[in-house]
Amino acid sequence: MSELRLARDQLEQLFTVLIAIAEDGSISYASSTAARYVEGLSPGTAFFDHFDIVRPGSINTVEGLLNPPPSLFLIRDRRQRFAARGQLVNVTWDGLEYACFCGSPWLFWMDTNCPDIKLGIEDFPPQDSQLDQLFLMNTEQRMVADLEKLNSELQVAKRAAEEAQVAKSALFARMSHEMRTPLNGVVSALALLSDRPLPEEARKLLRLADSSSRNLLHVINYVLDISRLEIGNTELDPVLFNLSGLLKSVTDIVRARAVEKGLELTWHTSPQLNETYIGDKAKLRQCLLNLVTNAIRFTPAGSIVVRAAPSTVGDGDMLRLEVEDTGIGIRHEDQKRIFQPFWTGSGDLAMVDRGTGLGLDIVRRNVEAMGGQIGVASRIGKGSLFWMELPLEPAEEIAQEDVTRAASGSASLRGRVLLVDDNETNLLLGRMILESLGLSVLEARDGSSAVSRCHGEAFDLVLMDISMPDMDGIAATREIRRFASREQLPIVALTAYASSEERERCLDTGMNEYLTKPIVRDRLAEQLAQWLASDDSATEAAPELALQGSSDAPALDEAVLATLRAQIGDSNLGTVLDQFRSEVSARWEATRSAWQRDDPDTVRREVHTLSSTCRSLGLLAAGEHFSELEGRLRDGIALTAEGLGEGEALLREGVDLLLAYRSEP
Amino acid sequence: MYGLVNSALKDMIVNHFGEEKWQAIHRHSQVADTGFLTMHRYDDRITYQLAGAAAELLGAPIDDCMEMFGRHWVAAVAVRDFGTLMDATGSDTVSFLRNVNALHDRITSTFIDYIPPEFALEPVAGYRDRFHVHYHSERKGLTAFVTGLLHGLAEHFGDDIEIHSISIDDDGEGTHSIFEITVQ
Repeated sequence: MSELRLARDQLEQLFTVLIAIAEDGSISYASSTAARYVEGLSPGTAFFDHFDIVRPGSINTVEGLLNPPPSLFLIRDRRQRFAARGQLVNVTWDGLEYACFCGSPWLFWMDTNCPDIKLGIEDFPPQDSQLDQLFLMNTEQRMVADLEKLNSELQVAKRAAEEAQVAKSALFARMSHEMRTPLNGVVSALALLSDRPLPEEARKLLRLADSSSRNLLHVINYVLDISRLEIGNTELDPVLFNLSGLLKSVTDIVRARAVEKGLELTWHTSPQLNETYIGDKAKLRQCLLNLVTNAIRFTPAGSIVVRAAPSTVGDGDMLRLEVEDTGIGIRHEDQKRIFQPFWTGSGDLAMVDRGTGLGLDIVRRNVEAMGGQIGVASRIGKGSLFWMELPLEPAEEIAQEDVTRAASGSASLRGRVLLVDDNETNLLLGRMILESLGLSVLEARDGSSAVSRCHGEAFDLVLMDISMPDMDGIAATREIRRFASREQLPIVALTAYASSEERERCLDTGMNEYLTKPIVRDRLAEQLAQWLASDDSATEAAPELALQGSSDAPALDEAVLATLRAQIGDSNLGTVLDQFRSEVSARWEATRSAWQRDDPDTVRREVHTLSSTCRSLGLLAAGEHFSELEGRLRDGIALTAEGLGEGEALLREGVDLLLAYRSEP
Repeated sequence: MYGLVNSALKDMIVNHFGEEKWQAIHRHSQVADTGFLTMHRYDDRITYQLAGAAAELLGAPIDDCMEMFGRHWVAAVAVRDFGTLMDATGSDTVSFLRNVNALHDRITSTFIDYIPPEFALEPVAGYRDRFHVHYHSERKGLTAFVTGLLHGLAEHFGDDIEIHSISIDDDGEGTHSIFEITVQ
């Protein structure tokens, strides 16, 4: 007997809900916790009058209770005011057998269904884990709330930081631009001053002022570049370019500094590479220029080599460009940091001009924008090798595609075209090419003539030069668009400027398309075919294409002349060359006299025309030179006597080359 | 201590004195501004640094700050986040204090390495509603916080209780403080 009571006492230490069920299904005993929450739960009442068995669902008879499976039992008060979880075990008390439910309140059911009933901690035996679970759940909820709050704070902070970064970069860009304009004035004034007779002391100071202002201009240009990159100006402007020409022009730009330091500066391309590629030439040029400038800065003696080679890491579509020097080298621990902005080296660089610390950052950003990689290998005292692996497309396949497309689509056209240009050679050339396409050509030599002709006459299309005196192509287009829509009168820009900004400017003004000089017959035909009716009765094979945009400066690109000869014939080419000779002579005189009377606007306009005319006839080095002069003039940098002299020499050489070409069979 | 404690301290300062004051206290404490995660363990020194900085910038004695924190803990953390458990632990201050060790036992099984304080309730001879509350902790310097907790519990349960600190012994390892509470 005492053994039986002990057994129940022991069970009550382990379980707070204890219900003993006799063979007839009546309750023989209920613990205090069970009796407190279940109304009328007293000995003698039937178990199934009070409870449903939720789990196991198969147990719904007294027999089932007396032979319980060893599984979790969930029981629920029929009044839905109490539920318990536990197990059923067979016990023998006072010689009688019972099924005994041993468990504790079903906490989560109670919390959900009877939140008004407050269970006490004493209702749960210490080993029951439900309160622990509740605590854990509450804590987890709190943890999730913490993380959500933290996440939203971080999002806000990230947005604010990004906005601040954009605002800062925009401010830098604006400030740099604002600073650049007056500084250009200073640089130009100093350049003009350097041509005047000055005492030696003043000349020394002038040289100091000149070099300082140029350095400052470099820094500002770097900051402007970075600001543009940071505000997301990473759009690529792919063009066709000549690889050797690019390497040559980059090394030519900095050659004077290398020579000044007694350094050997060379470049070469691997014979395995193509001659032409498609890529963002301007970004590539800037990268190479920055790397070579750095190499010169950090190489006290020896040599610098610029190399183009097939990729060593890519899958064959990559081009590797290297700049190797025999300079002071970079410490191993610094090699990872050199591409970070404003890092100007650590250690003993006291004797070296460290630069702004922005050049390599710009290179890295540009390389990343182009989808490439950059790296460096270096040894202290031995030199450094900077490499770029870039996904540049070899151009042969593309050029071939263009030839095919042009050849198949070179049907003659019908219509009246107004050709607007202030350059006689271009007018002559344009007329010949357009007429060879079967078009009727009328001319206007400036913007206002073009507007009045469009007003009074009917044209099917206007080919509009951009840079003209008085009213330029942009202003003329704006005027024409007042009375003729894009659909009524297509206007195609014909410009020497090859940039995405220029193209956008033209299209924004109301032009329908944009073509760059020199005029390439098939490309022109392809464009015009969009706007003009074709004359299917006459087709002719397209002559070979010249490489448009290949401005890496051979003195004479004979392919351009060969194309012209094929397009307009031998005798017409002779007429064009005569026209060219007399025009450049007159233009050159106009340039020189404008320079002498200090009239930079006229100088700029004339060198623009010279650039355009030279390019049209394949004099690429001269064209590039005049284009650079024009760019400098546009930035407010005055034309120097050296620049003028070089231009004259290039022109003279060009005319000689053209004459020699003409006399060739 | 767990992040829960530091978060609660921040909440209290933000609620009573504003976000700017909290930022100033946080800066003054030189505690890294990384936020606090409830279940992450932080060095105890962080809590003490924050409390010390709060006392300095609020111009109040540290004990007053800690007592305020104790009241806040009951109202804003225990009741808000663990209401069911609070209800289960007791229906009034005295019953709660009787069961609080059992609550802490369960918390210990969830917050690993948590070393909770222990409380003992001792009736004062000759008084039906007067008790000595013994507080034992391995930590030092938190007696004022417990004073605040006792006041907070009384407020939570709507009990009118007088609380006096009788002794604080923190000379050796940890702290043993005794409070006398009288239920009115």
